[in-house]
Amino acid sequence: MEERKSELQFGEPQRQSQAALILIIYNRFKNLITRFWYFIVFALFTGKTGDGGLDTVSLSIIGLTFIATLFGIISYFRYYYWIEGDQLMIRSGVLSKSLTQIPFDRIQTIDFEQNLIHQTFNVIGLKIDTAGSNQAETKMQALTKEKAKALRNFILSQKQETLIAESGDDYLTEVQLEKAEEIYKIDFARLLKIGITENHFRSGFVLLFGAFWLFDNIRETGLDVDEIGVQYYNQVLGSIVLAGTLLVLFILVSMIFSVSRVFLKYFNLTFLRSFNGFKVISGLFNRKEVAALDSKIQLLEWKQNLIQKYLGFHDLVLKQASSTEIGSKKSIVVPGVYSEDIENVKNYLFPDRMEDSTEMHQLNKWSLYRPLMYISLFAIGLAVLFVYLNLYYNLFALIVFYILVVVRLFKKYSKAFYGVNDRAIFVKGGVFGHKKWMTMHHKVQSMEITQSPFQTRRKLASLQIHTASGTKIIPFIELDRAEYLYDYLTYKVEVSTEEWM
Amino acid sequence: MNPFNNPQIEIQGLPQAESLEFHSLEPSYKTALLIGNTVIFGIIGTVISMGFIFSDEDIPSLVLKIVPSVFLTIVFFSYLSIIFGFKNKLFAVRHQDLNYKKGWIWKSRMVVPFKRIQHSEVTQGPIDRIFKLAKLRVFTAGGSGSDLTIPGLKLEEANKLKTLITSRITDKQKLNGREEE
Repeated sequence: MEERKSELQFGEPQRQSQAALILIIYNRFKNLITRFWYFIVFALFTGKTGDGGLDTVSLSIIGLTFIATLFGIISYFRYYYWIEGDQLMIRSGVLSKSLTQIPFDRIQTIDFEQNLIHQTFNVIGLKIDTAGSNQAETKMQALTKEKAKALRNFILSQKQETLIAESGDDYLTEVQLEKAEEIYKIDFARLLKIGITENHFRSGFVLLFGAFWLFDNIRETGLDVDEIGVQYYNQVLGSIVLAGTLLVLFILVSMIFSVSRVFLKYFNLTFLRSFNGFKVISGLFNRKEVAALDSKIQLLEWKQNLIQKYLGFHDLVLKQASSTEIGSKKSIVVPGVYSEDIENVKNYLFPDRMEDSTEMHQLNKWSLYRPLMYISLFAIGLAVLFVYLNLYYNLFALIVFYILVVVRLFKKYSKAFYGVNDRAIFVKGGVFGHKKWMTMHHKVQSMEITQSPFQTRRKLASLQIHTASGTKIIPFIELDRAEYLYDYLTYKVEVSTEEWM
Repeated sequence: MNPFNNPQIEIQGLPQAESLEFHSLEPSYKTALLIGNTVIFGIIGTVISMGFIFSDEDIPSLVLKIVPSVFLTIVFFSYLSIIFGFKNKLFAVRHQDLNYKKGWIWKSRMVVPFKRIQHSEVTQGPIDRIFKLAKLRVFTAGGSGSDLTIPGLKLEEANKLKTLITSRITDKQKLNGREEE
């Protein structure tokens, strides 16, 4: 009954909500600013418009903005969507018209997105992902909340009907989600912990890189940063205090940066389980909702770094099939998940994985010896050179660096395991922390064995397991074992009858 | 269709990809590859030598020595890899999957089950057309890592394979009670 209403509601070609106009204009400006922001910084810092060149530049930016906005406005009035049979139709285009047809059964996921503008106008942006076809994901700027929900429910329920003959099993509709149980809801303490255990070096280097870049640009403007720098440097020359202060400052700033990033991204995160899928809602200003149907989830990954290991939580990633390259876009990332929660997720998704009885194998020892050999040879060569040139400080640094690399290699080797049982594939890795990967046999798309000349000589091979959301490589295993797994997993895929996508 | 249907399999009874009888590609494909290689490196070589001849500045003699020798080495190895690589490029079709092996120095082999193929296409490049050859490309869902291309097939053979794959895909869908396309 409701479905009929929905069909009628979308039967006629219609425009998006008028809020889309504002979003289109906002996006155009955002694009322009992200592309040309250094001109703005440039102008702000120098207070002048440069050597006459900037005048033309700013003029053309203004011109571009004007044209882009105009096109944006026209494109809104030219954009129509409707439902015809079991296809979503979108007609769009300013100069050249295009008609996009998206059959419901090609649609993998429909995600909702709400940034501040969406929230202000009570509208929702839609991201429709299709797999297996050449067209990438389709975006709809803004629909009113009711229409967005009705459209999603209609498409997904229609799709469900064509997929599964038996009725009653609905896809994740809003109603279903109200009944869904909460796997976990993030609290302040956990947010803080996640923020603190983030990889600060990464955020630090992003900041540092940005700073250097800005510095470089300021210097080009003629502001004598070097002079100021040299004066300052002379005053505290040789002072370790400076280095120490800088390091502490670096760590502190990076930490604040990553903590605030985590708060923005994961604020009020709720991880929900419905009977046939998962859903994550999170974000402070930008509320994001991502859902995944069980059958769409191709594999699980969970990892923890050294500090997270002591605090006992993981980052969990549920990877879905998608038309675009793997990326992080189609993955559901759930940070701060404790081991019990991961067990729960695994039990929901892969109840018959028989993990405990799986025999895990280590990689062949050559996966350790070969890089060790090369690195040692390289280090010895460098060391001889340093001794010859009397560069003893460099020699010392080399030795320290060499030891670190070797420890890393041993650590990595000692953690790398793989195991295959009757139903599932497990791969473990990591260096100081842990990184685990698992999938079921029927999620495998194709298998590949590769051999380098080195591996061929020693009867070794690398096994590549291709899935719809990425390839897992098990490097350096014995050739006969690789061949056996290759044949076995191929066979298991070919006889499987389970739904895999 | 019983999801709990999980019969035990004898390890010895597994179909082994290694014992398959592989077919080699069309011999004319080797000629096509050699011609293509000659054309590409001919163009690159011409561009480089034009650059040398018409350059306004003096080119250091070291550059004059290194660039051509590196270039010629690359050309030499590209021919070698075509000649020796060709007989290592083999394919086989089983009831359930498509197999492809390649590699002279770095070896690889791949298997794509028909039921995981989303769609397939037959393409012909300009040189392929002269020799009436074609490439068969099969696409799986998700990333491109699991896509497979078999080059150097006779056009009619490639089309036959494509038809076979298409029929297998639809068979599978009928079996699963789905109807697509």
